[in-house]
Amino acid sequence: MSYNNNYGYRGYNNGYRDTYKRGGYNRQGNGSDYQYGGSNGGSGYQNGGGSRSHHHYQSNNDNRYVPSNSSVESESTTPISKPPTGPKGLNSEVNSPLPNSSRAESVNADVSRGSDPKTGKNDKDSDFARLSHHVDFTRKIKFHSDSDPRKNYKVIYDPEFDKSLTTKEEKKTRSKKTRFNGESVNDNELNDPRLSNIVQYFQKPNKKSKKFPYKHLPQPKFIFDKDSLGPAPQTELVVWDLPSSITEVYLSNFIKGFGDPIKEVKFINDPEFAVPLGVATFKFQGNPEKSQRLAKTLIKKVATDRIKIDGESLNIGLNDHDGTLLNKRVKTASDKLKSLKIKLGREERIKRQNEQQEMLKKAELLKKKEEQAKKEKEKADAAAAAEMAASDSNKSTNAKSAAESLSITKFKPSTTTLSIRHHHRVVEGIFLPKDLKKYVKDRPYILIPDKFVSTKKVSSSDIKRVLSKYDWTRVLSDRTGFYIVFNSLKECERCFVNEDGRKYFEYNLFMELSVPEGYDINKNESDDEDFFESATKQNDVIDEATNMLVKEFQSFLSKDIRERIIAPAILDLLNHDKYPKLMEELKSKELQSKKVIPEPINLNSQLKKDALTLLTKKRTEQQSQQHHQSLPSFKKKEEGGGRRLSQSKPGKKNSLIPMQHALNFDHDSDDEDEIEDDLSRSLTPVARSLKRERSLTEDTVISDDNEEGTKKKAKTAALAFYDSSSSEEEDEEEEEVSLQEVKEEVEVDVKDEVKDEKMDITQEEDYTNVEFKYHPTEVGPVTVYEEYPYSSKEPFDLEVLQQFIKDDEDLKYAKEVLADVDEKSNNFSFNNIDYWAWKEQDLKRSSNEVLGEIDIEKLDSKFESKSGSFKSEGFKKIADEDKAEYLPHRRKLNQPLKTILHEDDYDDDFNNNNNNNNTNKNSDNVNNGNVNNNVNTNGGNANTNNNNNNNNNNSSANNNNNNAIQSSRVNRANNRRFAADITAQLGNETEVLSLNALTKRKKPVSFARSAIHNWGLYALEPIAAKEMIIEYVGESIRQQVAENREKSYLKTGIGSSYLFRIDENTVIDATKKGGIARFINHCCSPSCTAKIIKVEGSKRIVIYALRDIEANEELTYDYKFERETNDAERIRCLCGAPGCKGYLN
Amino acid sequence: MSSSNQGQRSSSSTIQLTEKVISSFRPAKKFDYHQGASITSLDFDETGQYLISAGIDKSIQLYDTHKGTHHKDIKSQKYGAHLARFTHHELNCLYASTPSLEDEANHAIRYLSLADNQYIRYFKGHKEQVTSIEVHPISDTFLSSSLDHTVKYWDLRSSSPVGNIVVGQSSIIAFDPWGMIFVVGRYPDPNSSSKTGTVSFYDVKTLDKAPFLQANVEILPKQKWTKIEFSNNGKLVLIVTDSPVHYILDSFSGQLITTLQLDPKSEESFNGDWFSFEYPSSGSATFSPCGKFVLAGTPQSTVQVFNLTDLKSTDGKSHHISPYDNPKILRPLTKIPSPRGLPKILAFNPKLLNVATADTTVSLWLPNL
Repeated sequence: MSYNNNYGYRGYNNGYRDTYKRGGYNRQGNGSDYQYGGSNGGSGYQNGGGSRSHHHYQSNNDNRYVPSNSSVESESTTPISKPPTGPKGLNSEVNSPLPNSSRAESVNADVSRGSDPKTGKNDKDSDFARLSHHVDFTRKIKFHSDSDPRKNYKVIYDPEFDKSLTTKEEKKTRSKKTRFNGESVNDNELNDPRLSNIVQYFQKPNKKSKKFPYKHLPQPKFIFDKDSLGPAPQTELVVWDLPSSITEVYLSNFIKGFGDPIKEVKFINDPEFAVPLGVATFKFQGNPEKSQRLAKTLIKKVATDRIKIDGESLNIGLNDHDGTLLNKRVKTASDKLKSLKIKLGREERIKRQNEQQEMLKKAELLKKKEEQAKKEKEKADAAAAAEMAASDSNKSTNAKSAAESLSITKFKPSTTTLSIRHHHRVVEGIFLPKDLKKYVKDRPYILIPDKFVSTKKVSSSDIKRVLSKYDWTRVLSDRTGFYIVFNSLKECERCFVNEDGRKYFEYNLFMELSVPEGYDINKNESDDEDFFESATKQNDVIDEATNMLVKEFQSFLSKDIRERIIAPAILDLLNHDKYPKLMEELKSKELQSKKVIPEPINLNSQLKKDALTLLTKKRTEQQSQQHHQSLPSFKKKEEGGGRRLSQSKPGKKNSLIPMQHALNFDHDSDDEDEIEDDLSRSLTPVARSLKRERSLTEDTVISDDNEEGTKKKAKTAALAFYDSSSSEEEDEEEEEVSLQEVKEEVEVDVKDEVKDEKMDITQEEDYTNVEFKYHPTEVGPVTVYEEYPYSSKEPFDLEVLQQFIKDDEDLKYAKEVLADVDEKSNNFSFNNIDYWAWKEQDLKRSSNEVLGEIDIEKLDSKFESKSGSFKSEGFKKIADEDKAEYLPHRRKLNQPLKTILHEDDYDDDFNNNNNNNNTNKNSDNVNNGNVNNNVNTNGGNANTNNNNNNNNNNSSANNNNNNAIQSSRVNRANNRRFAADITAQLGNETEVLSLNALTKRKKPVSFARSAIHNWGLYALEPIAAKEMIIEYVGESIRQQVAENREKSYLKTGIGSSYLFRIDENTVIDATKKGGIARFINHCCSPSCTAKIIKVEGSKRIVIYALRDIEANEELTYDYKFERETNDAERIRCLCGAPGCKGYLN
Repeated sequence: MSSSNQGQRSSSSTIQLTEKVISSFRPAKKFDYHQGASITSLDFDETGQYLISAGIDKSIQLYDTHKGTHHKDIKSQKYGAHLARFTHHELNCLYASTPSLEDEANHAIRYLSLADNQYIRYFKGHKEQVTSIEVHPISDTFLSSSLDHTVKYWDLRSSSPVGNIVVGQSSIIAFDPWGMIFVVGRYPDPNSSSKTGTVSFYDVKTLDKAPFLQANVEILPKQKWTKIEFSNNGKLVLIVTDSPVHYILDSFSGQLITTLQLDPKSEESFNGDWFSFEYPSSGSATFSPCGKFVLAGTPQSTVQVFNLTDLKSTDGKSHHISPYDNPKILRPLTKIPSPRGLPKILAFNPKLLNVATADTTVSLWLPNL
């Protein structure tokens, strides 16, 4: 209660409530608060003064608020209160004097700023519980109290602090000694303790003291973090005036060279021109403080060491936060750039002007020089000089020609004109390797240096081809380059002018024209003057063309002269009639040789008895030979012909070339390639005829008329050789002529032929060179060849004709007979009769083959068209069974090829009725549908055997009973039982057996030739639907590998795809390593299906039966290839199934 | 620029405390870890590496003043926190309980190890709110004063006081740099118009007897003293008030040497509301470690620097200083703006060149050289 009296309870009370309200007042505004305040007792609330503003309450409604006596202090504070400074409006509104409203206002302003120094209030504090040191509480406490000095005390001795006492017991024995009110202390002892040692007090401050008077203090370095004020320490360094050669990488490496990694290297380009300004910024890595420190040390280092970058001193500075340094540098740099540009532009203009002036001067100088040159030349050689002057004056009209003309004059001995790269600068001296000197021989040459056109990569022949337009003499290649040697300087220069710098593939033909020392310009130049001028003045392409044409015409002219004038003349010269003496000599020689011959005839006469038999024998031989030779081949003919030739003209060699043809060959022989061509052509039939022609002409030259055209000669010559067959004039047209007629004619021919032969024999009795069959008969006239009995039923074709026309003679007569048949009217002519014959026969044979393979059987009458044309009958469906009748591959499928033959099959047939055979593995169930008890019991025995004998793992084969549908289940059950047994006996060691569980379930299948395609897989026994048949085994490869393999298989020709996709990533490749399941063919209506199943975690492809499959039936499944859009890549389906889609993909 | 360069060059070691350096202090860090609540005390530790602030949000925040980072947040939700003071043991701190009204009054001083957040001892004895705690500069003892009008002397080893002085009013206390003596300052009742404050000099050994010296200081009426402090050189005593004037006394004679005038305008109209707050705080002015400067915060959000170099003190000599030896009123050398919070509490790091101020946030100042 004393508080109330002394400290002003009311004030406290007011203040207390007020502080709660004041915040609201400040925030919400005056009006509402005023009302609120009013209900609580008037205007006091608006004052907001707390204890400091009680005076209002006193002044306005004192009694309402102070139940007790008014406090002294509150009254005393009133006069000291601040004069009202708040806004008038507020005051008037509140309708009460509010001298302290300014305070409220200031609080309002400082809400977010922490404590208000005037009110001493922190608004945020209201968020927290009021604590006991709050002014409102402390104010309650009486300021003064009686100070009772007797309550002063000091603990003199505390056993707890006594270090001599260690144990608690000891400490307990002692008691704490407390001195009260300084009892034992004398008044004179109350001295300032500092004074006793004042010197030390000041001069040697206690270093242990927290309050040590430091005059120097170390400076802390704050880390930049979120609590930091102001911007982060500036770390960006600016480098300026960098040489343009410096790149980002170079700079960063350069800075890194000082030991600290940097980041954010950035080059600044001119914003207008995007030209590098040589200004860059970067930072050191690490936290901002470190980065800044490093930056500063670097700057210092740069300043002290004068570090240079790329020869230029490095300018570096720390950027400030506003980037002013950077901006400044960028600006100066860009300004510099701009001014430089302007300057450059100006300089360039000046330069251009200067150049123009210089050009003019030079031109003048050139003119003068030319004139001088002219004069000199005139003096030297009047004629040449005149020409030169003319050309020079012509050319000097324009600058370019002037330069060219200049270059001509420049070509002095021992100079080199550089390529266009060097603007045809003329250099004294030439470059020529020593070893090439002897080839060049002081002739002008062009050097294409190796650095432009590699001599290793380009052969000199290429260069020759490129420069074929020019009349070069040699092209030499050296490791220094190509040397193109010219005879004339003009041509050399023409080449140089036209070709220098020309693009040749990736190369540029940069040339250097060199004129050796010993070259006499004047002499050589004058020779080529005309040519050169035309070359330079005119378009050289046209020039080239005309040159070539002229050359060609020349060659043709010479050829014509040779062939048409000289050759006939020579041949005429060699005519028999002109040399009667020589002919007589020749004849006498022939007679002499004939006289020698009769000996073999005598020999023959000795063999008179056997003559007939011999003849017949020979003839049969001949005939059989002919039979063999019915398909004429060039080789055989050659043999025959060769033999004949060697018999008829022994000693004569083919190498002899008749004059006429020698002339033909002549003009070509200068080119080796064409000779080669001829050789190769000689392999073709045409060439052969040519050769024969050649060998024959020996005859014709001697015996026949020259008037015969070469072509005719060739024909007859060729005919003469073809003993074996060839009829020339026979063709389809002729065949249409009544067969009978022809036959008669031929018969007549043959008779005549015989007569002629006889006559020949009588006339010339020298038979040594004649084939035996042509020898004269002794008994009576006998045909050389046996009479061919021709029946009119046989079609008259080539073969028949060949029966009639056996040798040249026959042919000759045949020709004569058919002479009136006009070849050309039939648009038919034979260039080469034997080729024609061969071709005809070949055609016939091949057609025979086709016909022979498929023997067309007569179809059922129901397939015959009633109207004679199926087209006329309209659409009608043909049943599948019927289709199988006439579609061979269907028939094959429907009647499976019995390609699999086992010994058992025979046994099967044999033992069909007595099924006691234990080894009956593959019984034919089609024939033997009934269940055989005997076999079943045997199967049962086998099973028991299996169970007893663990080693016998071959159960599947033994367990196959007649009832296949049951068998597999039994099989699997047995396997399971078997496996269980093993586990029971051996423990858990069935891994060996369970390696591939699928193999146990495999059906007996075998591969054999298939009706569908190549090989197929066949069931060896009936398989029930949904049975597993076989696993598709192969290499498991990844998709990518599969793609590669597919390509390589296609490349190597392994067309058949044995790749089987399991999933997106896995493909089974059975191409090289794989089970027989790969032989299963595709069928559009398959008997099986492939399923991908998981066996012990791995995906496997397993073929299952879709339907019941009979023994020996081919197994098929749908390949399910993806649809191929490209028709070229589609694979034809050969399955022949009724619903065949036609394509696999 | 040359002087700043000099300063920079010596930065590797230490920087001399000069006018320039002191004047160049700028806030560099601002820690807002008290949720906007008023901070009532700041204290640097002996090594100068740590700073603790206690706020009415009942938390103690620990800062690393070397790096300028916030280090730790210590909650004292049960007892509140005021006057957190480091002892000589690393990261151990004393603080006064600030129970809220609802709680039963428990005004014990708590001794907390900040490292492991465990209380070492409770110092029980005060019956009212503790208003000041001063740790002996050398030994493990401390003084406390309370609204129960006593000053108690404690040993860290004992939870009960080892000395007691009944002052008869709330008081402020301070040790001299050697810890030989301490002063107890008593300001007159602000509600009275008394103009005389008293400073009593006690010998630590005979604190129970009586002060060996008692000096009266003529002051502005209605002012409250918030802090008394010896300069580190032991020559001067600073009385920090909530008024626009602070006082410099001679530490031997207790004679008023000069008056630091912060705000002459409001001095005349001072009504005890110049720089006072609802929650008391541990002083808005402080000596620099060298004792040659005083930094004082003002409600105008400035820190004023006073240069005391030229002041003459007795230095323990018996003569009296005539009023003419020193200026009666000392005007501030510079006013450093403190834009980021009032310098309601100001503390100078004893070992490092930085200053901490606090209001609802703690700012660390660095010389901006």
